[in-house]
Parts: sequence; C-alpha cells; structure tokens
Amino acid sequence: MSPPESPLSETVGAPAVPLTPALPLPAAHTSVRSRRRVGVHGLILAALLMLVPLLAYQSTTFHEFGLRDDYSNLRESHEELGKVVTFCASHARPIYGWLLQASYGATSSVRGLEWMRLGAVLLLGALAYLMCRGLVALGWSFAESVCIALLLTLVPSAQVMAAWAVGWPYVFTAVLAAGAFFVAEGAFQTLRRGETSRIALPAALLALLLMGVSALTYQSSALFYLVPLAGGLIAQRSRSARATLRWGAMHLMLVAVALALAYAVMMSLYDHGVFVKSARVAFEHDWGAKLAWFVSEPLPNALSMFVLNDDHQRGRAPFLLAVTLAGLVLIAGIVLEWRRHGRERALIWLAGLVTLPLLAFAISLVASERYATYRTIFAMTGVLLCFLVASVTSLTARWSAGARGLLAASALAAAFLTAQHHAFALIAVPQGHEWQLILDGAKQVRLKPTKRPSIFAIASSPADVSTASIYHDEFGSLSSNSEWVPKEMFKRAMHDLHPDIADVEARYQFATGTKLPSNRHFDVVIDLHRLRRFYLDY
Amino acid sequence: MRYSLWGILVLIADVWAIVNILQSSAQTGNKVLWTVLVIVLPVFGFILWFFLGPRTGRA
Repeated sequence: MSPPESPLSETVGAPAVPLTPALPLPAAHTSVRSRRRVGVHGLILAALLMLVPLLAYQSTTFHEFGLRDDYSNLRESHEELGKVVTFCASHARPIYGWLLQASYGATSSVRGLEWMRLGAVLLLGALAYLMCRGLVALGWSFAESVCIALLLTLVPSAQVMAAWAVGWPYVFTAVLAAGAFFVAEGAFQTLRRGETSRIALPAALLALLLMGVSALTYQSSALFYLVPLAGGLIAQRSRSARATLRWGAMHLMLVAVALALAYAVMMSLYDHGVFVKSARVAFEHDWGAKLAWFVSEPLPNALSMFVLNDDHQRGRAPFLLAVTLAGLVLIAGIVLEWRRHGRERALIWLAGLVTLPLLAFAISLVASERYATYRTIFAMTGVLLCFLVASVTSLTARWSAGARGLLAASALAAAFLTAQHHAFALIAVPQGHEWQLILDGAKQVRLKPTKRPSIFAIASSPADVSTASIYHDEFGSLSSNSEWVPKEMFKRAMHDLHPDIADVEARYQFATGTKLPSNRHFDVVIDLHRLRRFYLDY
Repeated sequence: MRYSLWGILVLIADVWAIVNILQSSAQTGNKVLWTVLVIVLPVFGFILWFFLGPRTGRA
C-alpha cells in the first residue's frame, strides 16, 4: 500500500496545491473525472477533520453531567414553553432561544444532553472542513490550512462549546458566519472580474442573510466572519494596498449592514412588544476603561491560546509566558513580512493585526457588560491564530519540510491533549460529581401517597471546587453554589428517576441554603460541601 | 465486536503509517519521533501523519 498522491499528501513547505477551488467559486472547466477524484479526497478530508474533535471531546461528550443553565433550560423547554425563547430574545438572541427550545425540548434527561454536546462537536468538525477548504481557496498551503482548521476545533472557546450543551448554537453561528464570508468572497470575485452580476447579487444577498441569521443567534460568534477575512488578508500578497483596503471595506460593510439590520429587527420587536428588552442590552459609555479591560483580560486570554487563565492565578507564569511568546511570534511575523515582501505588506499585516482582533470582539466592546469568558472570544482567537500560523511559517521558512511537519504535529498533539484534558477534567468530571451527589440524594427519597418527604440541600461554596484551576463560569466552576441551581438539579433528578409520575414536584418538599436549619427535621439531606472530597490537584 | 473492528482498523492504519515513515527519506530522528507519535496517539497520530508526515520516498 502507498499513501494517496493528492493534495492530502502535501507536506509542510511544499507549494500550495488547490484542493478544489469550490470555495469561493468553482472553476468552470473542472472535468468530471477530476471532480470525482476531488470528491473522494474531499470526503476523506471531511472524515478526518470531523474525527479530530470527536476524538478530543469523546469522553466529555458522553459523560453524564449538566452545567448550570442546562437544568433550568431542560425543565423550562418542557414545562414553560416559550420561556427560553423569551429570555434569549430579551438579550437580542431570538434564534438562539429557538434553537435551545427545540433541542432541550427534544431531550428528556440529563443523560440525553450528550446528543446536544455531540451536535456541537460535529459542527466543530464541519467548521474545520469549511475553514480548511476555504483557506486553501484563499491561497494558504494545504498544511497551513489543516493546522488552522484543527487548532480552531481545539482552542479553549471550542472546548467550552463542546462541553456545554448550550454551546452548539455558538458553533452553528460560527459555521454560518464563515459560510457567509466565502459566499460574499465569491460574489466580490465575480464583480471584480467584471462578469455579470446575475450570480453576484443573489450571492451577496445570501451572505447578508447568513450574517443576519448568525447575528440574531449569537453575536459574538457571528464575528467569526473575520477569521477567514484575516486569512484572506494574510494570504493574498499580490494585491495592492488600495485593492486590499477596498476588499476589506466591502467585507466589513457587509458585516456592518447585517449587524445593523439585526439590531433594527430586534428594536422593532421590542417596540412592538413582541419581546421585552433586558436591561443588560445597553451600550458602553466608558470607552477608556473598556479598552483597558480588553487589553488586560480578553486579549491575553485569546493570545495565550491553549494555556488557560486561572482565577486563582495558580498558573500565572505559564499563562503570561504563552501570551508573551505569542506576542513575540506575531511581532517577528511582521518584521519578516517587511523584509521579504516590503513595507506596504508589513503595514497591511500590522493594520490587520491591530484592527481585526478588536473588530472580532466588537460586540462585547460595544456592549456595556464586561464578560471575558472563552465562549465570547472564539472569533478573536481565530483571527490571532491565522496571524500566528502565518508568522510561524515565516519564521521556519528555512527549515526542512520534515522539521516543519514535526513542529506542526507537535503543536497539534499538545493542543489535542490539552483540549481533551481541559474539557474532561475541568468541566465534565467536576460537573458530573455535582450531578451524582444530587442524583444520589434523589434516589434516597421514598415517595409516599400520604406524606411528602422533605429534602434539604446544603449549597456548595466556592471553597468546595474540586479542581485547582478555575476560570469564571466555565472551567472548574461549580453549578450548585447558587440558590436556584441545586433546586433545578434536584427537580431534574426526580424527573429522570420518575419519568412516569406527571407532577412529581408536588410529591416532595425541597429547600436549599448555605446551612442546615437546626430546628427542622429533613428526610434526606444532600451536603454539596462533599464536593471537596473529589479535589484533584489540576 | 464493534470495538474490535475499530481497533483492527486503527492497527492497520498505524502499521501503514509506520511502514511509510520508515521507508521515507526523512532523517532518522524525524522517523523515530513520527513513529513515537503514531504509537502514543494511535488515531490522532495517524491523522497528523496523513496530513503532515513523511511518506515513502519523500522527506
């Protein structure tokens, strides 16, 4: 047996071989035979790219757990139809609400959440495939495109999206946004060639529609449009500065129009009383403080790539080292671009490197809230990843193809193992422990027709976290350290244990608090402080 | 049975990858590292080799 001699077998450093120019526009002269060949290779590529996130998150996907909002979403999607949609729409995300309602509505137990997480993982695979094909079409080498595509599925933002059942619409939004870019790029290319606008106009409108839908789903991920834009900016060196400016402006205008349309739609819905606007939907006023916050929190989180920020500041040194290293590599990339391709290209890189990460985080910058979670920085991480991969390619230009292949493989292997560890050990396992404690308590409840058993849950506190690393409400965090989550978790446990009893909630009394009341007797006591015994030093 | 079949497929793929690595014209150090990668990460290592690794007659 010998490996296929195709674009799939191209090694790092070899000249870029276009792997079907299907994106942005297919070449009209492609023969039927070559299409067939490309089709098989395209399938192999798709299968392998899909397999990577599946492998990385397999243990997380199929672990039995929920995470915070999962419990209330699951109940409300069955018992209070429309509540999830109304809540999400009040935060200007009506399509997100509808997707959550539909998916939680089709899920009947905590065990069933694995299908939603599997959906996120499959969508990550689809995103990787789309990005790989798209970057090759934009002029990146096949090896670079594979690296970026795979790393995108393994960054901390992707880890959160894969591990949290609410996360699949975030990836769906990113797929729509990336798709919108490639459709728009096809339309703009057609116009640039001076061809008939019969295809260009519908394509541009389709791109606008895709962006509009993604902006009404999850705005932060909608800006994933800028990731392939960064890819195009880096790869298309033959374009003049003026042409690059025009090209970038056209794309940014499309994004701006789509966001403005989505905003107008939401304001109209609020004005007509269809939904009620949340007080959290407000614009930032203190721009100086917001920019300082951006530089001190979201930007380092995105630059550090696979090294997690830690609220306990335990891993501060490796985190800062990763940020510094990424910064130095990016600076080296600009210097090498200047030396090899001239001042104009270096200035284009610098302009892209300064503006695109800011724009990719624009929604969170414009909004008054300051929430530096990983799920909001997916687009910014993607933009920086494109510049980092391009910079590393420049830095290693004189290395042998074998050495570059090994470097890429080492980086990908490290990213793969890190993603697997973070998602499983910092999300699935601690959240699974919380769920198991509640479930064990629910199993002790004896439902009787005459008497309602009483249950008390002693809520956990931040001191009970079972991981050494914790970041905001994502990695290593607790679900049960609030008033409402233990109650929702217990309701869910009783529902899962007694699916045949219609109104199981009426058959027991549940209370929760930080301390067990000394003057009352409870039939079952669930002590969530016991989470401490699961503590592991990572 | 399902897992056995998957295991056999992975084994065949890894053997194919390792034979290709050893027959390639890559440096000995690179060959060793690629082989270790495929053995330590049987599926992901194979995928990495398929996209980025040395092949028969090539570095």
